[in-house]
Amino acid sequence: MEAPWQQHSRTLGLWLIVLTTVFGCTGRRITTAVEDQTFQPGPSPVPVVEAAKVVPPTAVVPEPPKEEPGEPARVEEPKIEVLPTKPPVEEVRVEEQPVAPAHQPAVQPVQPAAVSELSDIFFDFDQYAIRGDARSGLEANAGPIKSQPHRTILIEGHCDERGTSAYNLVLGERRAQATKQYLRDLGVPSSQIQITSYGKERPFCAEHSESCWQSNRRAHFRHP
Amino acid sequence: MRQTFALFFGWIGLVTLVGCAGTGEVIPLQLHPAPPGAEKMAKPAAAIRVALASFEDGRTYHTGLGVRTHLWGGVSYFDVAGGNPADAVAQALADYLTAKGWQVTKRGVSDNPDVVLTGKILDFSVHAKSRVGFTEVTTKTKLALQAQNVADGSTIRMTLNGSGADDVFWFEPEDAQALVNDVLTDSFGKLIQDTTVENKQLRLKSP
Repeated sequence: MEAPWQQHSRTLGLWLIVLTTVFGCTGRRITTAVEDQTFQPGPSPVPVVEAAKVVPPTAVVPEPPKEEPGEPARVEEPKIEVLPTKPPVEEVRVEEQPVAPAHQPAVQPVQPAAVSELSDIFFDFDQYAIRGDARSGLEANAGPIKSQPHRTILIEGHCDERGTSAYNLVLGERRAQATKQYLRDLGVPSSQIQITSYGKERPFCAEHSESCWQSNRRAHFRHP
Repeated sequence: MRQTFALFFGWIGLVTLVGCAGTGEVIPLQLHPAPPGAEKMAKPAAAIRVALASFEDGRTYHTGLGVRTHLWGGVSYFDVAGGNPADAVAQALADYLTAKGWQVTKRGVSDNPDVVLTGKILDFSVHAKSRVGFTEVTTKTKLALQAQNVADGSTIRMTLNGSGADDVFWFEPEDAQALVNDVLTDSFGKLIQDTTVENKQLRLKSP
């Protein structure tokens, strides 16, 4: 038989245990440490679109002799707005398809000039929507393409170096498709348009900067 | 009296030990970090347009977030609702920045953004381990963020290493969810705290 004080002390002790269990362990601890905080200045103060006019050092020198005779204007093309010169990789691509006979420039003298009139259009990062500034370029391109209904054009979709190769291949194709669709809306027959994607495999610019990436996110036009 | 106490504590003991056995279910966690309301109006000048371009899951193991180990055997698994932590964290960051007054478009940079924000999840884990009388909840996040100013091409990079721990007597999934959201809120808050907006460009306060 326990005395009353013993029962009370036992009750008190048990409740103390319960309260300690319920409330004694709570306590939220949250911390955040910032690591590797860096600021990297931009490559130049010029706007991104302007940077597309920059010609990489390798673009001028090596490849012009390799060009096919049918497209001599590629080097000195008179495009003014966005891209006054073409990347050297394009010229290598042309070399892989030697289709131009020697007499072709004499037979169709107007065609190289038509190609040179087709200006590249550029895209935003991770996007394939036609930008506002690209619409005017496509409208300008549509005229020469429609004026030569027997010639097809190849639209190449290109991307910058960010992301995986597979992802960029898909993105490049979507860019080419979006460009094709826009040209179709402008009245260019779809039978006249072919598309392909090079993803990030054939960049115009090899630097790791936003201006360079911007110049690589493009749709390029050429004759297949 | 003695029998009453024995029954009471026996019942607690049984529930604690047996009632919480794990069945292997997946506990979905909703990520919705909420900035403190007082800070919401603290940056009226932050009318900066941010394009949340892409988030990458760079964790070594991509399956789930973690495990809840039950006291009486069995486990449950934590995962984000939807099963894609990269998207969930990106959306959480978008929601957070929007609540802070920034104009955020997710994966849409066609609106001429001022800043393109990309990120990579380096670590994201949630674990809960039940012990006698309480459950210990822990979470770790490690996010590498890169903010690129479109105007000048400058880039801000930072790695936010967040961690949190909590002990609860009676574990509910909301406990883990709240802890994760608090940790993310704290981490995202560092992005806000350590940066400033100058001419619609993001700059580090202490470069």
